[in-house]
Amino acid sequence: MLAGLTIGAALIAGSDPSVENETAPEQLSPAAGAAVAVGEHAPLRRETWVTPPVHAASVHGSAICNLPSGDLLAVWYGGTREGAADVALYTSRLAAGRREWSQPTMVVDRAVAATELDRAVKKVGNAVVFPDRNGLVWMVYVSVSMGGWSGSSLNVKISRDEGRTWSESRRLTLNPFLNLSTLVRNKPILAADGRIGLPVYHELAFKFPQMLWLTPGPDGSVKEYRVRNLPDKNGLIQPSIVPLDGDRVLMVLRDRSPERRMRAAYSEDNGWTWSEPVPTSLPNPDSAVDGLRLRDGRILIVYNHAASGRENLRLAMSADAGRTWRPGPLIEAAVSKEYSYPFLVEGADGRIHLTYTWERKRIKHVEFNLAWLDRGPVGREAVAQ
Amino acid sequence: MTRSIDPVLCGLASGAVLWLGLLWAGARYRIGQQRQWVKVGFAIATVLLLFVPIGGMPLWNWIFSFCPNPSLPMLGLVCAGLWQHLCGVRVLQPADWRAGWGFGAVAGTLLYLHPLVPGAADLYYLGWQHSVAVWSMAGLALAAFAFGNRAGGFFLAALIAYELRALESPNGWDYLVDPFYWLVSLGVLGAQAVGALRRAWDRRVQSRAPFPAGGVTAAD
Repeated sequence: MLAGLTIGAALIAGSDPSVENETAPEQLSPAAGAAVAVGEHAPLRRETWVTPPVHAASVHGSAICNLPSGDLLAVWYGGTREGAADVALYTSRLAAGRREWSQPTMVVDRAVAATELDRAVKKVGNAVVFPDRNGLVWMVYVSVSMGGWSGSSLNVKISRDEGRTWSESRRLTLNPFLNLSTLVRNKPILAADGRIGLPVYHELAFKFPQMLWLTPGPDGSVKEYRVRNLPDKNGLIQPSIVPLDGDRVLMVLRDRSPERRMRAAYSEDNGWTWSEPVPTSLPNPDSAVDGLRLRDGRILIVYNHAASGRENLRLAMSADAGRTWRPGPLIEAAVSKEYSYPFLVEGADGRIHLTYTWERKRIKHVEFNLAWLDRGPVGREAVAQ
Repeated sequence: MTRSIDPVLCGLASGAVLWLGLLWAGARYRIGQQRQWVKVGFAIATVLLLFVPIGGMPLWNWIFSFCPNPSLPMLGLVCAGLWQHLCGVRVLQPADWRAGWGFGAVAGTLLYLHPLVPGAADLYYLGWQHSVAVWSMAGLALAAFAFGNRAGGFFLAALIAYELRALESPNGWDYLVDPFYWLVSLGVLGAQAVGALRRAWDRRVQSRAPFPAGGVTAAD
């Protein structure tokens, strides 16, 4: 019997279907939907609202993505206040060539999530949307069954029609202790082998970034997934990752430590392993940041330029892969107001799209091009890290 | 990712625990002296209890909300206890029970508390690796069977369930241990340790008594 068990285990272990997912991806690939840049020489900056004036008392946590059709899709959560029972996730679409976002569509609230997941759901929160290499659109969102945000778990919905309809939610088990405390905020990287590297983070007891690697199945489902911790990075959350050249990837992080500096870490193997995060020259008032690699190779980030408070929102650029940063144009600034949770994508036409929480009342969309970025009121000198 | 049979497994586990609890309470308070109709009555009560709506959701759904991945050893221990109460057949010997509780305590402590150690390796990640998970479960089963311990059956069941992706989690460690199993294991082992200490203390007190029991009689 013992011999039989040994042979059986050897056969099962030898037939490992997921061994390729236990190694670093060989190379990254651009997100589906990206197209050739259109050269523009006239500066362009355009503002619009993603959410209508009368929508929800409080909105927050927007994310956007390019769809294969060229449209933009935004997701955010809204309700009476953050964490309230009536909070729901909404999506809106900006059709290619149009200037007005569509009316919000409610995708999931706690009742829908509870029904789809067969369990108690107290509230829903942060979500991201992104297309995979096959053009399917994924939504990964946070739900909480008990406690505050540190009791979060992640769920996946997949759309075959660019976000018009969604599959039922599927829960991901990412933590051994009651599957508590995995959250998401920023966009993923896509590996050439089909894997999706989504930056996530843990908040219960210790706060640290993680990388969630999702393997899509041929039928538009989640075939495999696993999460890798970045050890000993306590106090650093909401990682935003930016592919550089070759196999290098930059990660910028929100800092909850008393130091209040934006941190940067690097991967030399397409996001599989990471260096120790180091403080950058930019402040971080414990608020979300997002980054993007421009087509000319520079890195653009959007962040709150202050040691405390979220009263301004600013751009910064780096020409040396994030080692030094040049402060860029100011997007918003007002005393005692909040401009936060920015999200950046580059459109199919090469223009850059930024969404963010505007005073917790609305989600604002700013569209600009490289010409505006370069001719705007940029900072005077690069600041050494 | 296919939809797992996890809610069903969790419902069965919850039912088995509830039924076992009712049988234990019945025996404790001498309700019906463990007659057959009492066991059937408790079974019906268990099913009804699982479907009692609380806050718009049945009780089993609440249990599933917070314990979505019941481990196979815990299921095995509960089923063995239930079988013993229902049929009077001892499926597990005391050594098997000790192995079950011991494994739960050690595995849970390692898995759930290792992140508290600065610089510790990410043990949970190893559970994502198919070959590591398979060899761990098979190794545990082999070791237990080699010592004639029936707890090996739990690990074998965990391996089969893992290959069938019976739980919501694809991580192998979730088939071997869960937080409730860990806490109950610690509780059982703690209670056994306290009992053993108390017995040892009593023996020591007795051995140090100046006169053996009954060795002194009242003076006339």
